[in-house]
Amino acid sequence: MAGKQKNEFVQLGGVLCAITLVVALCLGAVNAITVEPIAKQNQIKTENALAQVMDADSEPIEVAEGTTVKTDKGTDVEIVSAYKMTKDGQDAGYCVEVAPTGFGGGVDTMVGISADGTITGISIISASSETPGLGANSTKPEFQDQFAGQPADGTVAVEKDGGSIVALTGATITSRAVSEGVNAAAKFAAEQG
Amino acid sequence: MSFGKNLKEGLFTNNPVLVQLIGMCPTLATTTSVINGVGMGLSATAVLICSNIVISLLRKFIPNKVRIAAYITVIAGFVTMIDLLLQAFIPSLSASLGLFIPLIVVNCIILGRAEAFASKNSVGASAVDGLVMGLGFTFALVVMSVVRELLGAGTIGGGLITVFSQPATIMILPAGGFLTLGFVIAVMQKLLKKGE
Amino acid sequence: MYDFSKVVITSSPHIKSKEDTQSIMLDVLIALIPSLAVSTYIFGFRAILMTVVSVAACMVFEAIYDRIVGKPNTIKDLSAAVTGVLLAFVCPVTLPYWMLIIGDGIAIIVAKCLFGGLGKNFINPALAGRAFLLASWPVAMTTWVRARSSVGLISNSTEALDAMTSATPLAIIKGTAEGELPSIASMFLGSIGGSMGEVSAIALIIGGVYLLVRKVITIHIPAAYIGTVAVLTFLFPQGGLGHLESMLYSLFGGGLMLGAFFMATDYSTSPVSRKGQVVFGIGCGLLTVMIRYFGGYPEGVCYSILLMNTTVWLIDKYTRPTKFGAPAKQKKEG
Repeated sequence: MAGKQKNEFVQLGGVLCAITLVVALCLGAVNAITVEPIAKQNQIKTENALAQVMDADSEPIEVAEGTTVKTDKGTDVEIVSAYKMTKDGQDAGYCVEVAPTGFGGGVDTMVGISADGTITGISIISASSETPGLGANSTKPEFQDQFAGQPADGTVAVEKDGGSIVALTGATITSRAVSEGVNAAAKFAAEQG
Repeated sequence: MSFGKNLKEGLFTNNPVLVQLIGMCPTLATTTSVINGVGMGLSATAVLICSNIVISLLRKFIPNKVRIAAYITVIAGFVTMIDLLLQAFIPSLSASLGLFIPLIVVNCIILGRAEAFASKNSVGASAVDGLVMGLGFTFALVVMSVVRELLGAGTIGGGLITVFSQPATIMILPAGGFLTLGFVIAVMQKLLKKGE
Repeated sequence: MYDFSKVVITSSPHIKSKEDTQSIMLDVLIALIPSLAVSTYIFGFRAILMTVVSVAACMVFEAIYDRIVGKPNTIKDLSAAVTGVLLAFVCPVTLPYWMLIIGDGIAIIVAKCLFGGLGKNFINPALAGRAFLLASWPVAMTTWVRARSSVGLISNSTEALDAMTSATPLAIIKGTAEGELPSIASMFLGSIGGSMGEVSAIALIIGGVYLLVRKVITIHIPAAYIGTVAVLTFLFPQGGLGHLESMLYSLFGGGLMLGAFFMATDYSTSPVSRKGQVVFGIGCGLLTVMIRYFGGYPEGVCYSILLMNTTVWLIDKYTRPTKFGAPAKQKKEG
């Protein structure tokens, strides 16, 4: 009896093992085909965002995972990645990708900061956790374009808080978050020297 | 059974979403625009056909006691492949469907058809079943997403044509999904009754 | 043998009353008149037109639905009219008419008729309509004009509206909007920005007292609701206000009075027993303060009543009164 049961276990295990083995082999093959295109897609996405905020060559700076910067207003903003920008061999400033907390989660934003201390532009990569029709409108150019030319000294703010950014209608929280993200990026860039 | 009859069953009389009421999670979550609906529907159809064929092939080989584990392994394998392929070659769709592609693994339609049909029928019949059930799922998603996109975003065809400028945003939020599903099922039931 | 043929035999209860749905609903409508009058004084004739449009839309939707499903026409019971007035009252006066009509459709068809009509709906139709409108057109639903500003009767341009907008007192207290807090007296009387029928606390209290006197509602839900909000906002003042100030602003601001007297007391969406009604009122009050203090919106009356509506079955289950003559419950012996 015991022997028969043992046999059954071996048989069941064997069959499952065989199936998983075959599936794993197939997955490995697909992964080998797709690993390169996926990496390329991610790179294109970052490059597009970079090109949108600053017209220069980028070189990534190492940022430890979970790095946060505290702005002058006391908000903690996560730094996702950062790039040192050069144009024609000249120092052109930094691009910093930040994820300030908006209404429903992180608002992934690329911020360009020129060497002379102004914001060259921002590009909101993803605002998918914001409310559709309100905070999600932050990806529209009318909103993003306001940030170009702002000073990179931590004073970017919406009109209600004494700044000059016109907040999105009905989405003050998202607008504030993006402003704070820009300030955090400026501070991070300043710390890099 | 002829293919036409099969198709009618998958699309209408035994539609997985609108009649069997399975696979609700992706139906509600991904139907915010037609592109997403079609993308989800076709991805699930691809997985369904592949998994039905493989499970039907293996139906005599897989012991009854571990069948669910075996099915899930096969399904998860196909889903992961689709996920990787989408990320590599259709990144925009992959970005908007996000989490819901991996969730095809636990889509009741796929495991349901594996258990109820593919494990008992020939390879050919299982492939046809996967195709018609997948198309039925896609059909339901398209109907839902056309309604929701039109009312909730004011556009047709995944944002191609803007119809009006002040859409009822709630329709592309989860609450609107439930509302739409209720009405679509009601209309479907009415039509089916008429057809009898 | 007795001749039973002339005896009318009915089942209990045998109490006769002239009250019927129509007379009750008529009382509710009368009770809402002071508020409509104040609203018209503050926001102009558009307030009346909005109310009329909303009532008409609700009645038409109900008549159409009854026609489609082959039910007897129920618009004469006036319950649709009450829903129409209430929905208009919880919207800003500047809301486009077509949005209001869609809200009426959701309220009557989805929230009321599909669940079986009057008495079978599980959530307040007017509030369901408002929740739908707020999620759909959040900007239009939160554009408040200052009191006594000249609002166009038919349409309003965005520029004209922008010039007239003012923040609601609750939003100012919460800090989500900039502005000067109006005096408590003007909040009590109603010369502030806000939803049409919510601005004047005094007019709503007059209406509420009328309903109490006419025995259309009992004091339990409003007292428990308003009392809970009063106690909580007195104990935990918000926005740098004093205890008493915080309490008064919270009581007279937003839709608390309208909600407590006219919405939370809706028969089919509130508990049956007195004890249950008190529990329901306290729940509404708790949720209102929670949403006002910690939620994304400055106002929480609508959602708190809707949420409590969904718990009515549970409250009813646990507050069922003992039957007359039934043996007292015996404690289980360990």
